[in-house]
Amino acid sequence: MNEHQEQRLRDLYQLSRKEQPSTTMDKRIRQAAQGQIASRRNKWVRALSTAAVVVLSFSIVLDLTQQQPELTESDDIPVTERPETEAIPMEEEVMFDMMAPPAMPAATEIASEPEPEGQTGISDREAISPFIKFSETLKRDQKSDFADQVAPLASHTKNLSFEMSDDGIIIPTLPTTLDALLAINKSVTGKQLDNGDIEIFAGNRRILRLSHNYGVQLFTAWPGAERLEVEVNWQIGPESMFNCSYLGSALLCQWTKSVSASFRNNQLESVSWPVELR
Amino acid sequence: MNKDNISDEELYLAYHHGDMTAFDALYGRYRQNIHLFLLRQGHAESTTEDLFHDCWLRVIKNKQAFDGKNFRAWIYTIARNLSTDAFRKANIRIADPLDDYGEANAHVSAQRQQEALDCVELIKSSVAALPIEQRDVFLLKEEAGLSLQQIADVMAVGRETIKSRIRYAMQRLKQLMEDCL
Repeated sequence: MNEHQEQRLRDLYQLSRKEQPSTTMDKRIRQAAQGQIASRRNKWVRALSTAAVVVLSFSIVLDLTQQQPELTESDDIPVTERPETEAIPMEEEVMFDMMAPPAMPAATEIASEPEPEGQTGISDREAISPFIKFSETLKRDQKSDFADQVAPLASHTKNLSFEMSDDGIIIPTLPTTLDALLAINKSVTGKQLDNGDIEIFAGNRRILRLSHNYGVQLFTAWPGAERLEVEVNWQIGPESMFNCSYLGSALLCQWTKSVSASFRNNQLESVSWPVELR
Repeated sequence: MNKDNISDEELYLAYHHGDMTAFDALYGRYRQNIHLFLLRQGHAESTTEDLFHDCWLRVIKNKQAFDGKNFRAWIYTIARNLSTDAFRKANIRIADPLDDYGEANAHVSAQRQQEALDCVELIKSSVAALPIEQRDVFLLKEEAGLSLQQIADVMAVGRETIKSRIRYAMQRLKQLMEDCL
């Protein structure tokens, strides 16, 4: 090949470079990028808050454990006596404060406040319950972050069971009613013919047909069928197939034991498979 | 701030320090190239979209996988790996890159050539018809603008192998595009 021809090929390739990703895709990617920054920031905030909660909870538990012996030792204070104005128990104040981590009082401050007289101690479980609530909030936030990241990826995948035919294209288990087929992808349209066959369209282009021949139900897919989760390499040539023979101007080949392929002018035109894959 | 003079690597680092404008600049540089690289592999449009999205998600999330040296080579390595995996999932045969033409291929290419009136359209289908390894080399050179050594690094083969694959790719394209040359 001479230089001129090589350059010509390169020039043609550069002229062909017209397609762009969609603006919808641009937005999705940008959202993901923003989400990554936000989640990284949130992780730091949560990490600091969690650390503070852990320290405070530990301090409170320690404090309570230390206070218990003092209460039992204090025989001078009758249980029935209470102060006239019953102060809010110290422990509840602490719990309230712990729900808003940045405003948490220092552990030493709390420990130094006097215990209301006659107040029995709360259980250890109650003391650390705000921490449990906080960590549940943490888990919920993380889950929501995860859903935001995963949902865009999963949005195109429907609740279909997939089958891989013997050695090639991916054929999902498709429903056999018009409504159910249309439900797979809202962008397609369809109709049921008088003979019972169903045809699905993307715009003006037919992408799928369900036909009934001699008691056998057969799906046929054309380019565009990926909207219904049928994945086909439409660039594949007949040289990859077996048992090819001409039927009029169409070259019919066997792709796998279940899937047949139809070529016209050596271009893969459609693939067919029985509803019940063997 | 004009980010045109900032390297890809600096933009990537700035993004991971929280600068979204850096990401926007980087995305703007590569969005069409990566899209075309995947589209020209011959994937269906919806598959190309998925692969494109997955590629960028990896760029966004896997900072630890980037060695800081060459962002361009890295992003195309990701794109290429995703594309290859997609073909493997569909069990598309990854042809021997040094396959000779063979009678069947010559027949197919002649037919295709006769039908295509538009050379620009023909180059698209011709590139997609190349064996995967030759197609990768062609696209990494013409679409990604990588050097031979960078392509060799991306494909994890020697530089001489890349030169051979380019030569075979161009010869095959010449055969497919004869009337246009």
